[in-house]
Amino acid sequence: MSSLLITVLQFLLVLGCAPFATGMVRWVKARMQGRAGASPLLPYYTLATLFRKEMVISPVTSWVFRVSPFVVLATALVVSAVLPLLSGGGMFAGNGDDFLFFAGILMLGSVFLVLGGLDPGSAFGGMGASREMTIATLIEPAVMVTLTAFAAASGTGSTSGMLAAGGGYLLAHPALLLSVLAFVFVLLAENARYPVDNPATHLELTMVHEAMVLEYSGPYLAMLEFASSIKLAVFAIFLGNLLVPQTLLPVGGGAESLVVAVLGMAAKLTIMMVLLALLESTIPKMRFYRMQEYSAMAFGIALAGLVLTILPNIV
Amino acid sequence: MTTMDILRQLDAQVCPTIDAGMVVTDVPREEFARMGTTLVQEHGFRLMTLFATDDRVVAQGFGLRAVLVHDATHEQVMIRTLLPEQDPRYPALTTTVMAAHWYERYAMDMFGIVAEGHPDPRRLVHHENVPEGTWPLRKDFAWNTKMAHDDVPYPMHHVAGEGIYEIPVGPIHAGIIEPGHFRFNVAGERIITLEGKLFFAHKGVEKLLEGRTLLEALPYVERISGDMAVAHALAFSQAAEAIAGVAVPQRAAWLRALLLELERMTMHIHDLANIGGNGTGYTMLVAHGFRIKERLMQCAEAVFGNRFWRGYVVPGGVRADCSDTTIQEIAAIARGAAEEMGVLVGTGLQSDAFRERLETTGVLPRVTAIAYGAVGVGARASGLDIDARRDHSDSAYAILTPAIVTETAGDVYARFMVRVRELEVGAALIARIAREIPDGAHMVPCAPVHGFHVGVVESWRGEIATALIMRDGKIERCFPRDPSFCNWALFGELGPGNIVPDFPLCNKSLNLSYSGTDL
Amino acid sequence: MQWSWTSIGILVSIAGTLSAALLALCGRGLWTHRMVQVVLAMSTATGAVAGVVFLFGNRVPVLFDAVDVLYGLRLVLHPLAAIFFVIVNGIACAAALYAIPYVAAHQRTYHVPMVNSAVAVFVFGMQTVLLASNVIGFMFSWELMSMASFFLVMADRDEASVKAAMLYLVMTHLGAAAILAGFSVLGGGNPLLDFSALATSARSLSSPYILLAFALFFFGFGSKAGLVPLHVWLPEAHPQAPSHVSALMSGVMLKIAVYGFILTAMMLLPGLPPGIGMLVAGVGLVSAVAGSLAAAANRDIKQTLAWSSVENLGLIFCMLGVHMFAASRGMPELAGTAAAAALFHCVVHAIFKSGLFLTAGGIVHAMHTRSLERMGGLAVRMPVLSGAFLVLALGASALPPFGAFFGEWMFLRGLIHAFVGADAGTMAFLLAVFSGFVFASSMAIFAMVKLFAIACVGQPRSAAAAHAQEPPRGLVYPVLLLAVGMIMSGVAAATILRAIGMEYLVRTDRVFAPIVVSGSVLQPAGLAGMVILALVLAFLFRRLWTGDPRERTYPTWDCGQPITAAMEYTATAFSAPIRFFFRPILQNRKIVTTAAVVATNAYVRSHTMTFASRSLWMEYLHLPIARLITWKSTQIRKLQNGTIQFYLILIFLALLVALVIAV
Repeated sequence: MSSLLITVLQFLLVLGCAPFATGMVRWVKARMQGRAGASPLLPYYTLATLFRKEMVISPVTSWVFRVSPFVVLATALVVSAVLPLLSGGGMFAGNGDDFLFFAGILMLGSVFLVLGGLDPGSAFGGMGASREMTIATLIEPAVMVTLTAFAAASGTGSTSGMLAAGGGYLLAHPALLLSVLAFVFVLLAENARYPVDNPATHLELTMVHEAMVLEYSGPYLAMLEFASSIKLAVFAIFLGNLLVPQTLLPVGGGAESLVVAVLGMAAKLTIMMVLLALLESTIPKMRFYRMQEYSAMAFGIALAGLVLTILPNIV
Repeated sequence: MTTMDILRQLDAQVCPTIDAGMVVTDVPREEFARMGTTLVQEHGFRLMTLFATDDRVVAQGFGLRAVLVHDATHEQVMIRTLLPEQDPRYPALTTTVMAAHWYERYAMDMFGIVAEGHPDPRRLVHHENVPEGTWPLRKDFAWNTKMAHDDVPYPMHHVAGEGIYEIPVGPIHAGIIEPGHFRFNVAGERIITLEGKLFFAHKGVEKLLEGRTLLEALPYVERISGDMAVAHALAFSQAAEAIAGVAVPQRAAWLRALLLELERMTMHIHDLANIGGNGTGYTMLVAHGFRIKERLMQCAEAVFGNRFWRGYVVPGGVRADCSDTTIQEIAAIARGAAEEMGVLVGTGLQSDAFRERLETTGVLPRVTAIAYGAVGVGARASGLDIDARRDHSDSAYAILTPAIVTETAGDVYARFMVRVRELEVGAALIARIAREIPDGAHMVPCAPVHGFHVGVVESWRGEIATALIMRDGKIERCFPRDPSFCNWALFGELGPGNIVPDFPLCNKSLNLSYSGTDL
Repeated sequence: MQWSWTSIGILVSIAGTLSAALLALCGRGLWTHRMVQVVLAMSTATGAVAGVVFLFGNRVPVLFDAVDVLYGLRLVLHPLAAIFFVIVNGIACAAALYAIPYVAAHQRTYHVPMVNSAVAVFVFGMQTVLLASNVIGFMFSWELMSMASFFLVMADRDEASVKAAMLYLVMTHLGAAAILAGFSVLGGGNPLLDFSALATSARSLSSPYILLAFALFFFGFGSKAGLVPLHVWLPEAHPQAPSHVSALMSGVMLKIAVYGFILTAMMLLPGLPPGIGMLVAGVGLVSAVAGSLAAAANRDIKQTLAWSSVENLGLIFCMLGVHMFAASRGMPELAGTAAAAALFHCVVHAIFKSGLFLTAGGIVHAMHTRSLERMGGLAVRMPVLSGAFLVLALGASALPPFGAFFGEWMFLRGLIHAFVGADAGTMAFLLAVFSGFVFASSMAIFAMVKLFAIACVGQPRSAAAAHAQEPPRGLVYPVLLLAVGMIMSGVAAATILRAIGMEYLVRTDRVFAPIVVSGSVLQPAGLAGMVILALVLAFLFRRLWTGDPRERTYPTWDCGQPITAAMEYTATAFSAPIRFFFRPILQNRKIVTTAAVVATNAYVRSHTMTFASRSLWMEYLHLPIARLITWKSTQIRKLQNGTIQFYLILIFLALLVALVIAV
């Protein structure tokens, strides 16, 4: 299978299952609260409806407001194509999937989300924007240090290279489990989940992500929601791949390994979403002014993972 | 020194009388504020309610009555003054007694009487659209008057300084809650000042009650605040019974106590789930808490025909008797709910992250609570030992003697814990009622003709003081003062210093009624 | 003497700059002003082109023996200086174009001939300092640059400006004195020595002297570069100058300090121990962190940029420190990458910082205030300038696909690669650098987002902002030029790397070649293409679903109560969480004073908020030193008692001491 085909396949698969990820968390959370819950497929309908709706746009907004959804969605599209999610042998393997680029492109998306949130000039948008920017800024060092541990262990900065070492990887470097833990911290913060943000809240004063997208409607809102679904799915699958890279489609793999890879990806996504729902059902949201402790903890764990990973190499 | 002596000492001119257990004294309007201030500041009285009356037909002026209460000796004093029709002015009590500030603004809006020297004489009830000179509670204002639309400024407080910005929230919120506007002055996340603008849905209850009989009025009173139907009906009925001079049969009084405690338990369970669950995002608490609450509400529907215990408490007793087996069943359900909720809350409190959200959030200092005349859970969590069930007890509570729960920290956690313990107390009371309820009639006739009294009931939110004036068997004036009316302004004190995203938690920890305030 | 087009170009450029300085003094009219700027723009453009040609040519040092008239002063352009020569001339050219409408619009504020002449002298100083080949030439040009910029800081004769200029004067002269002393230590006091001779004589020095010289150079160039704790003047002085001068000072003059540091500490001084590299990197990191935090918390558009300069210079010195460390530790790969990243960042920072200062000038021109709290909504009112602003701000945030990202990427990749196989001490050092660097660059993103967002999006926070309009085209074009430069710095990062002599990081000699650091490949143009492709896909995606979306205009959601601009986030508010989390470092406090409306009721109050910000460094380092000096001076003043006899005794004693020393 050519690397181009693999990348296109992965791209389409991730886009296809991203709304399912969001729906899955909601459904499992509802079940855990004793509610029947909406179907996990509801986000597909929601997106389809939003895309057909009329947009209501504030006269205060500028071109920044209109550019933001495109940039945010574009960054999500880039990461879903570039990262090794289905296979480590995509067309960007080794020359575009550098983890620092991954971190940078995510930040670019966050920046535009923040700008879009501030543009309508409402108090809520600003509140969400300031909080999102703070979270993104403080968690960024943890993102980098976490993945640096994998980079140092595998000797390459490319994310596909990090996964290429195969299954014995975490066994060879057990300290990387700390990095995986730090990555979970990062995942929760970057995707505006518990304990950093409450995606289900109706309390406008506590919102982060929802407050930023408050003024968006119709197709723009759909794009932003879709982008955050993609981001969540990408993070979840990538976390799954860090733990169990065996199901990745090997370069030159046949039909049966393709089936394994696709099923593996779906399984990882579903399991991660169930775990996320479990987490969100059992802990309260953190006080926002504890954010620095959260990010310091994430950074500390990531740093510990990095140090312990490279410690055996010290001469 | 008795209250009579104090009053005589304050002003040799006055001649206090005692009316249905309440010391009543008429003072000239210049003395009104001084008298009230001395009673509050030097003799430890608390302003329970303050309201105006339109007495122009009988006395060519507006009456102004302040009821003060001494919580330790349970004595009530009413200071009354008459303001001439042409010049309804008097020196403001708020200049010295903070607890009076909403009452006086309320009277200014509703009657057009002026509290001179009030430090914050802005409108309270009337919004921008109400024209100047609209005084709805004057007798010559018809209830169905169509008002013109106006645009009178309703300025909110601003903090001066570059970099300050204001967060306007409401009256339309993201969640389904009552309308209220909150304005935060903030330079980031930490609240500098906070102010509420309520009264978006004024119902005109006071106006509608005037000229009606007790039974005509009761449905309105029960709906003043939907979740306090029993407490409001009870306060109203007690005032009427005192005017009529009837004593409610013991069985009726105990049945009323049963309902009041059921209402308290239901809403405390609601609040615990809401503070713990929605406030902090601890979904487990809210999902199960609301389920437990629902059991009690379904019990109410099965026994009383509606989910809110409406239509049961009537002046003179209760509408129908309740069999002892039914009471046993109710008690069993209440016991089960309290136990299950206890387990749930216990689980929640084991989470450090959860306790951490509640502790030190929204601290209300004791002195501030006293100054604002705070009542209910908010007051008791700040160390104020007040509870109308003990301080102004009726015949049932005099026997039941419920334990009064207080905390000292004054934060959200303290308010949470007051509710947790009151829930246990409530379940124990209900169990005792089920065991010991006396037999007897469930109702006596109650037909008050002429007079005044204040009915005081400790609802789950706090003390209700319903002032009722009857004339010729009809309601002349009724001011059902909801506990929320006393406590709303507390947000201006407990909010600042917290961060904006913690405000919903503070809000839920008091859980005040918009509708009860906005009569 | 070999004449080449390059050397002629360089000669033309410095002669042109000098003549612009003289021409400026010829008249007060706007016509003269325009002539001066055109001459300056042409001369600097020539210089920039000559520098580029030189860098892509055979890179043989260009000599001008013909100018060998003053004490053996010869002008030499070697490859390192050529990089900075291109920066100086390129940015100065944009600044000159910008100055045509800018200075004309402010002719009441500024004394036009004086400002124009000083700017030309300033640029001339920076050009010649790069060409100087001996101590006296270097110091002379350095002083020209410093003095001209000193006058420019107080060009508007405002009280704050004069105060800032005085602080700048003190710091810059302490620095210059240290540099001169450093040269004297190396050359045994001979100011006429050639740099090559100086390097030779430095080799024979014992290590305490080398360390002393290093300390002097580090102090001197560090104070010019605004490294913490010698940075106190920078956020005061840079914003006070006219905006095109701010651009030159922040974008270019700071780079001259970097050049001077590289020249002295890395080329003249032999064999510095690894600890020195650690020290330089450490000071750089502290500057970067302190600068980024201060930039995040600041509320003044130009001061935020000045603090961002402290941060970026910190990052550059951190890279240089790692280079020195790695070089002395025998880690050539890391040393090479760090040096490449540092020089690359110099180029990129020059582009975005001068671009941002010119943008700020355009905005201040329209707004008549520097306070972010009065701005807002400029993206609607000046779409072109704000578009360029956004590009430059994203570039300054080191986000892909802009240039600064690749510089930081190279550096971090190099560090990560060096982790493997390093010993414990090296590892600890590299980890500390990595963490601090990552933190500072994340915080820089916050600062830049705040800067752009509060100024440009949302509702206007003042009448001036509401009525603001796009500045005259002459002010916008230079900014656009630099914004295009910003985009090119990313797309053509490989070309820049080749130009600054770091070909070994580039795989092929195509213009849009990939960069290779320690086995990792990044293709800047490819990544930019990918982002653009994704944007196109996102657009098609939207089109596919909706076709032409229907739109309705409706005011921003107000919860049912009318909202005003007083209800949107302010700069103060935006950075509040950062201020809270880093309060021990930032040291600024919100002070809310309240007053009871009626004395007898303490609960109804009015509130006023002010900000008390203080500088840790100023309070605990500079002011105590200043107080000590003042105190000592008062002590010494007691000698001055006014009696002639006493003075004679003093003179006699001084002569005796001199005699003793001489003998």
